[in-house]
Amino acid sequence: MYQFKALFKKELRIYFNSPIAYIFAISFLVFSTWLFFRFFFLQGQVEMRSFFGILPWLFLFFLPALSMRLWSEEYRQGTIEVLFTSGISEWKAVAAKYLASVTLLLSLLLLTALLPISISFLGNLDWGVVLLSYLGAFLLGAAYLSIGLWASALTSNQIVAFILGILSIFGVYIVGHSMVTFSLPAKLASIFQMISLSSHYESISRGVLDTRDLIYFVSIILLFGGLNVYLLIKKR
Amino acid sequence: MIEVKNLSKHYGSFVALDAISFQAAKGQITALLGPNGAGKTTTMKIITGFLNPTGGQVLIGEQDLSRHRLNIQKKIGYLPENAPLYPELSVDEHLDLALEIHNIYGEEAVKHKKKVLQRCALEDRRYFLISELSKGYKQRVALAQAIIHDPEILVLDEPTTGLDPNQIADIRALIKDLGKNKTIILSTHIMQEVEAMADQVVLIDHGKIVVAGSTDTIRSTHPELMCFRLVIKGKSTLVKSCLSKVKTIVETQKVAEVEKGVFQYLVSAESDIRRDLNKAILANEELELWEMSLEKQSMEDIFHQLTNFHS
Repeated sequence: MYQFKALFKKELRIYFNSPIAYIFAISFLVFSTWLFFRFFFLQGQVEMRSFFGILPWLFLFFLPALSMRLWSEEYRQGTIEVLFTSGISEWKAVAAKYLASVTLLLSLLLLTALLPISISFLGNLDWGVVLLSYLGAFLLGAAYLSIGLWASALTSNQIVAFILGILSIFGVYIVGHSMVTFSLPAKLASIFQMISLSSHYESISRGVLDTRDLIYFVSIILLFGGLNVYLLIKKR
Repeated sequence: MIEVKNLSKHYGSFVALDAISFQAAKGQITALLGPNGAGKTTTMKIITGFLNPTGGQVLIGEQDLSRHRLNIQKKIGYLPENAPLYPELSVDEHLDLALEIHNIYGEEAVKHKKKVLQRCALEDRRYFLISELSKGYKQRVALAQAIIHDPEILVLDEPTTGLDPNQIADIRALIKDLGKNKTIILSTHIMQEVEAMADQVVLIDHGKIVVAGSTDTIRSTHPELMCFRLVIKGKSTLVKSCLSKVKTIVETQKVAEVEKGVFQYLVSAESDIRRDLNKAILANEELELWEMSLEKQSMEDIFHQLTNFHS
């Protein structure tokens, strides 16, 4: 546990000692707020649907930027040698890095809470749907980060890790989209929908909490976490 | 005590290490010596458990490294090549990280930290970010984090690179001091380093051990060349032509001008030729022999003999 704690703390320190975390948070808030209010005043309804609709696309570019350096910089600087010669197992290191990035995601989502709070003064906001959508957004972001962290372990170049992360997440996100599935046989289409991030995210944002969606997100996180550990062990 | 048995490492068809075996005892400093690319770093990465060997075994205190890797690693302090550090952290935060990873907290942590800051002469840079430090300071931070938890075993990959001459002397003294009650393996391609610190040398070239043993044993078992130091007054061209007549001389080198017209030479030969040297010089009236002595053969000479260093 002490090893996990030490590494977790180190990752957060690196985020906050460098400008990464601040630039990241500010630009994310500026983008999301601007996009939200653009639609909000057009629609004239007190609801957050448009915000949660654009979130997967904002996350697609912002979250891989958060995870890209986690392994690739360790390779590039050579610090991975110190890390994996001090008696730390691969899965503990993966968990520490992953949860540090998830902590940043969580604080980011908390900062966006100013949006629903401010529009709730304008009318009657359905807090149940908003909270559930937040849960969905958190799970979606957590899955993105797991994929992004795995992509970061593929290369010692941050930019390559960033692009690989975006491509991989995009792939898992759109496989269930109707544009992909319309030409497929029904059986295959339903499988594609089952493994797609988008269908599970949309079903939560609609305001329905299904345990299958929860299980899906946890499995994706564990799957890419497992692949990440495997990749590190193979490099030894 | 570290025992390396038939260790091999292949990268595809490239053989980086070819069945090397040696031992490193507690209280001794073992130097892995060899030209660049000989396999020193690979050996160290395997001993620290960072890389898996293709074949062979590493025993640390009779425990098999491949089976008890994580536990053994807690007893090892490792300074990798080029002193890798996190540029975003400060020296202080770096040492905290090393302490926390080894579960050292509170008063004990403060004590350990104070000691290494002082031993590695880092007190005046304690709150600097790593990215603001010079190469020499980075090297010392990396060494500090390797020794901060007082490990039984120290593996140091080229510990004095990037340091200035004064710092080199300090760090060598520190390593020597640490070596009294730890098992230390260090790598280097600098001969003086071996002579200054090591009790035992493992000479590696092209992934194979060329020779291994204590520095004294290696010297006595490789007496192939003898080296003489001469101080002669007279023209050096004359000296050279004069000495060229002496049999078994391998090389004559003019080293320095001691006084005006007086030069120091190093002559290496395959046998003791002091008598012949004497005769040859005295036979020439224009030359005066001021000094002659038999030099202890340096490890450097042996190193050059045993590896094709310049090829």
